[in-house]
Amino acid sequence: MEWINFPAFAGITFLSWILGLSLVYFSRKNRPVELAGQLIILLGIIVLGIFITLLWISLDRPPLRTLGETRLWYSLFLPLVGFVTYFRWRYKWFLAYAIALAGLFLLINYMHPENYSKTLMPALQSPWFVPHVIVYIFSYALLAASSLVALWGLYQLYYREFQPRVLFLADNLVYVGFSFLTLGLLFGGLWAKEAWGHYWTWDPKETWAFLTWLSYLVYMHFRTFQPKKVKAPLWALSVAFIVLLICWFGINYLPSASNSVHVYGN
Amino acid sequence: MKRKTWTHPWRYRESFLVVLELILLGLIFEVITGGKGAPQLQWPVNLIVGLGILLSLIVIQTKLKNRPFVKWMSSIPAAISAILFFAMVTLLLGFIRQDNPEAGRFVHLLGLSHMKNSWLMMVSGLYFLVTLGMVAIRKSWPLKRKNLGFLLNHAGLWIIIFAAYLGSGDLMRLHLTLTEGHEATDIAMNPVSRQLYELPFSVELRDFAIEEYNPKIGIVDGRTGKLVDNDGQVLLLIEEGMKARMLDWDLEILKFEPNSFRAESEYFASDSFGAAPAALVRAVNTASGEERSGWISCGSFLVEGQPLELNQHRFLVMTEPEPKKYSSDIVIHDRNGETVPLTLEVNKPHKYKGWKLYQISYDDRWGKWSTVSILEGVRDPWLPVVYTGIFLLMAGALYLFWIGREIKE
Repeated sequence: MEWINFPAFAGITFLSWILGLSLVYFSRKNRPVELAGQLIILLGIIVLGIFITLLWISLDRPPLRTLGETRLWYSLFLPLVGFVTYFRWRYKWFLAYAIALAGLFLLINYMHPENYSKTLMPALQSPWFVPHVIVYIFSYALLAASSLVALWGLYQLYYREFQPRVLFLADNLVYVGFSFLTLGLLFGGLWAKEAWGHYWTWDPKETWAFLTWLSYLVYMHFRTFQPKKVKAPLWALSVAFIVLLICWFGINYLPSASNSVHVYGN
Repeated sequence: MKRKTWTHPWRYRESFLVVLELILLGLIFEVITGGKGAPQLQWPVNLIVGLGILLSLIVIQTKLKNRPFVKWMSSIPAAISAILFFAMVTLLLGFIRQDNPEAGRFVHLLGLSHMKNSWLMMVSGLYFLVTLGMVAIRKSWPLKRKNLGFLLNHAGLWIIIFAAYLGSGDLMRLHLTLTEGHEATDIAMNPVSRQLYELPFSVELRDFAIEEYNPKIGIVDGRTGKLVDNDGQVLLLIEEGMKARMLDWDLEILKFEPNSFRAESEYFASDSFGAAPAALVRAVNTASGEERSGWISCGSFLVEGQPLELNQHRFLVMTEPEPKKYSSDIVIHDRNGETVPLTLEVNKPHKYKGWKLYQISYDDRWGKWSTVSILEGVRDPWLPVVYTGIFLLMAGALYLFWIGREIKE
C-alpha cells in the first residue's frame, strides 16, 4: 500500500459521501431512502478506515507523523462525529458541514501527496504515541465541530432567528471534546516524563496546547455563569478555535519550535 | 441601573481590576529584585509554605465563608479572570524568546525573558491556585454526589499546579557524560548552571550503540544543490535489490553496504571506526535509454560522500541515515558494592534509588561511532503528588465525557 493508491480509496470515500449525503438530504422523510444514504456514508468512512489501516501496516509505524497523515485521521473522525451528532440531534446541515470539511482535507492530500518515509525517530517510538495523538485528533475534530456550530449560531443571530438549541449542541461538543483534550494533554505529560525526563518543559507545542485548553475552559465557565447570554459565548468559541489552529498548524512555522519533537514533516 | 464598582457582589469588572493590580504587583516585585525572578523554594521550606497556603484556604473558606470577599474568591468571574491572567502569562511565554542572552535590559528587568520563574508567573499562579482552591474546598464540604465530577476536575488540577510549582525547586536534572572503557563516575552536571554534583552511586558505560535506518536516495540539482521534487516522493529508503522510478530515471540498487570503505572506485564492507554506508546503483533514462551506474555514499565524519552524475545538472545522492535506536549498556555501582547492569534507551528510562536515568544524547561529531553517551539523571520527589493530581483530573475528564453537560432548559 503506497500513497499512490490513495486516489482510489479517497475517490470511493468521496463519492459515497456525496451520494449518501444527497440521499439523506432529499429523502423527504422517506425512511428507506434516508437509511440507504446513512449506510452509504458509513461505507465511505469504513473505506477510509481501511486505507489508514493498510497504510499503517505498510509503513510499519502508525501514520500519525506528518501533517498529511494527521489530515487523514481528521477526515476519518470528522464525518464520524458529524454522523453521531446528526443521528442524535437530527442536524442534516451539520453532517453536510463535517463531510465537506473532511472532503476538503482529502482533496488537500490528493493535491499534495507527501513524501513518506518509514523512519520514525526514537523519541516517537513509544506506546504513548498512538493514544496521545488519536485522543488529540478526536478532540480537535469535536472542537472544530463545535466552532462550526458557533459560526452557524452567529449566522442565525445576525441574519435569521436564533435557536437556543444551537448553543446546547455546541456545549455538548465542547464538553466531550474538552474531556479528550484534557486526556491528550495528560497523556502527553506522562509520555514526556518517560521520553524527556520531565512531564512539562514549556515546549512551544505544550505552551500552545495549554493555551487552547485554557480558552475552552473560559468558554465553559462563561456558559455556566451566564447561560442566557448568547453572543459572547458564540464569539468566544470562534476565538478558541483560532488558538487551536495555531497550536495545530502554526507551530510548524514558529522559529522557536524548530527543535521541537512536535514539528512534523521532513 | 448601573452598579458601582467595588460594591459586592463583585463580578467581572472587579475581578479584572484585581488582576490588573496583581500584574502591577508582579512587575514591581520583578523590578525591585533586579529582574532575577521569583525565588525557588526548596525542601522543606516549600512544604511549609504549601501547607500554610492550603491551611489558610481551608480556614478562610470554612470560617469566613459568608463574607462577600470570600464568596467572590470562589466565584466564576474570579475564576475566569484567573484563567485569562494565566493565559496571558502563557501567551507572553509563547511569543517572547525565552532565556535569550541578547534580550534588552528592559525586557529582562520586567521578567519577560525568563517567564517561567518570573514574579508575574508566580503571582498569576498563586491567584489561580487561590480561586481554584477556594471553589474546590467549598464544593467538597459537605460532599455531594453530584459534585463528584466537579471536584475531581478542580481538585485534580489544583494538586497538579500546586505540586508542580512547589516541587520545581527540588527538581534535579543532571547530565552524566560517560565514555566507553572509562571508570565508573558519580559526577553529574546541571546543564544550565554548569554546576557539578555528586550522585549517591556511580555509573559505568559498557557500550553505546546507535542503530540506524537505511539511508535514502534522492536526485539533486547541481545548480541549486537542492533535492528535486519527484511528485512528492523526494527521497526513497534504500533496500538492496530495490527498483524504483525517480523523475525520468529507472533506478536499481544492485548492492548495499551499511558500513564500508572505498578502495579505488569500489566500496568494501568494513566495520572499522568511521565507515560509511554505500550503494551500487544502476540508473536508466526512460526517454533516451542512457545508462549510468556506480557507487554512491553519504560519507561519514571521516570519509567524503560520493554522488553519481546522471546528466549535466542532475546527481543521484545518498542522504545520511536517520537514527532508529540509541542505547547504552551501563552498570550502576552502589556505595555498598552492589552492581546493577541495565540498558537505557530513548523512551525506556530506569529507576534507581529515587533517581530516574535517561538516554539523552551522545557525541554527535562521530555519529554512530560515538563512544560517548550522555545520560540524564532526574530526581523529582514531588512527582507522586503531581501524578495523583493527573489521575484525578483524568478521572474527571472521563466523568465529563460520560455525563457531558447537564442541560438545564
